[in-house]
Amino acid sequence: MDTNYKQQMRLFRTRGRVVWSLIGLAALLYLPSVLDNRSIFGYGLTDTQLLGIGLAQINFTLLAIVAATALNLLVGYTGLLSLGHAAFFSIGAIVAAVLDVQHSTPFLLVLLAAGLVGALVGAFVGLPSLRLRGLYLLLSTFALHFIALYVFREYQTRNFGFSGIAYKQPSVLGFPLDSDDHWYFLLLIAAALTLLTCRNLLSVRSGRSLVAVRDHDVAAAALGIPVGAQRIKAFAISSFITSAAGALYVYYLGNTTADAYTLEFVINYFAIIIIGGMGSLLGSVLGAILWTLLPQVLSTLATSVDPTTPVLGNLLANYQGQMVGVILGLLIILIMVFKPSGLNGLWLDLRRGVTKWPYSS
Amino acid sequence: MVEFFQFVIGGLAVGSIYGLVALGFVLIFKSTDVFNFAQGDLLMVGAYLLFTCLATFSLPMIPAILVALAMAALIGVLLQVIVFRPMIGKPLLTVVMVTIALSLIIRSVMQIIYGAQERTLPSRLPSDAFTFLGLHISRLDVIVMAVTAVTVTAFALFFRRSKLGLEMRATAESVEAAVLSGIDANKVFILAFGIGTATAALGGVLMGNLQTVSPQLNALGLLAFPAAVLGGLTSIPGAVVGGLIIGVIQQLSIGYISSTAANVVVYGLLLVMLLVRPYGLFGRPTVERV
Repeated sequence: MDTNYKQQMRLFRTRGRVVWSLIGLAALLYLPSVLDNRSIFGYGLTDTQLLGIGLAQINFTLLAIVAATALNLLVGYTGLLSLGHAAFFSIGAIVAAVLDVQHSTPFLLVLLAAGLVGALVGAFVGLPSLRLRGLYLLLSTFALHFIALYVFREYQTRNFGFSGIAYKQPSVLGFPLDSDDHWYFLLLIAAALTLLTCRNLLSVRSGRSLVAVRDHDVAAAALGIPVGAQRIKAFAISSFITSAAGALYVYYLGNTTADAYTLEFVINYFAIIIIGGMGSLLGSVLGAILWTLLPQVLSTLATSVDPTTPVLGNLLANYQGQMVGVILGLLIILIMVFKPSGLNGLWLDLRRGVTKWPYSS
Repeated sequence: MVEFFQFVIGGLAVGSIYGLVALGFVLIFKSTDVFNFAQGDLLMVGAYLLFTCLATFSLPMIPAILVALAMAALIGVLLQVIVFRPMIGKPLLTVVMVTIALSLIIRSVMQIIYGAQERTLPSRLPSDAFTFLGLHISRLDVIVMAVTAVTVTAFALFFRRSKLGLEMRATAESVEAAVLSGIDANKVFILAFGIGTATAALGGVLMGNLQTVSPQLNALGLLAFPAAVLGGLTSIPGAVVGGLIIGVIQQLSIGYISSTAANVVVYGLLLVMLLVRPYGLFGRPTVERV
């Protein structure tokens, strides 16, 4: 229980959490070596034991964590439904193309600029949220999605042609990002920075008023919170992070086209925060891990299923992508029906069950 | 000028399909409060069901369409009973997410069954063109508009005259009051999903005749949203009028600007409409109480 404001703001609630965080940090630092050498403390591991996961998948997971956290800040914490996530990703890609590919700006400056442009557009896109609620707001961001996609496509075909935009290999302060290992550490820092920023934001007045706006905007206004300004702020912060992540994403991939930013892309991120848990940072992390690694895990497991197995064997051999779609879809429905608080809710239940045993229900 | 009217006629034809899909969407939204993101996928399902009826069962066109619609209605009923009944009373976003998951599942299942490639219907409705007032008009466009007109009239009669239609309207107005006056709300929900899915499938059946049958058809179904918003989310005639407007504007912008710009124009219109008149052309402004 927090009894004062200072307790609410501190980073670690208990000393135990400091220890656990240090252990977690050590594991994260050791992870690339495990995945590169396919062995843990000298014990060799087979590909199947590692579920077919390589460092590249982990890097995509880290990117997804950054972007999912941004979306959760907007949708989960502030309660603003927006389908603009792919649009903001594409803004990051455009800024990176203009500044780096066309004008050779340093990498970190590009990231900052991508974030700032994203925040500016985000604040603008947030304007309808002053008038519209819920579904109507969701539909208004539909327009943003298609407009951003159109701008991107026009820009791409005029300057780069149909094959897409190729990005240079970036380097941070003279340190070239030429391998998955190097990217891993950069993305780890990015994810940690995003999570820490959001964690801190949400434990001070400025961030807590976002949650107040979500829970009851009239009550929030009565408490003296400028509701409209909070909504715009949520849009700006969320799109800052998303656009910066969008720039990181295209640098990591090395190239991109307008076709990458579909509505499905947005829906995937919604699925991540829903599966993980709305309005929970841990939820965004868990959801991103599950959503980005599950396809790889399933296809690895699929190879160990005998293709002559009736029905399932054929399905897994020929329709892997589709089977992943069906399984993820069913997973969302099951979570929505039985555990609407998502993986975060499951984790909290589990923890309560263990720590309060035998008095937990 | 001839060119302009040519675009308008093409727009009215596709617009009536958008209108049909929007109609099904509004029907489901109004009676069950489910904001169905899978409406476009149900359209695609309709087109594929018709393909199966024609290619696999080798039925003639009209019976094939009727069987496809009946199967679609059955799918809608099953969706309501299995997926959406447990969701009654859950928050809006939860239900939206379930429909998104459903759309993911439908799309994957359809690709597993039919593959990802485009299919052409083995036989089609007649599509020869005739000249009327100097305009080339495809018979198919006329059929599409006529089918829409008949469907809308049937809907209007159903909701005005039949007991079932009145029960559905009563439930849409207030579930509690309807249940208190002896209406079986579950029956109404099932009916709404059955009819709503069949209407979307009818859109798909017509779309399959206009174009090819492919997994990309669901993107066309997305245009049901601007159509429904334009008409005012809960208005059934509004959905059709909205669909027609969206269709005409889309075809005009494809004709005069470019096909990539058409989406921007359509969704830009949606944005303006939401900002100026969020309750649509035919809706009523709702008063929110704290």
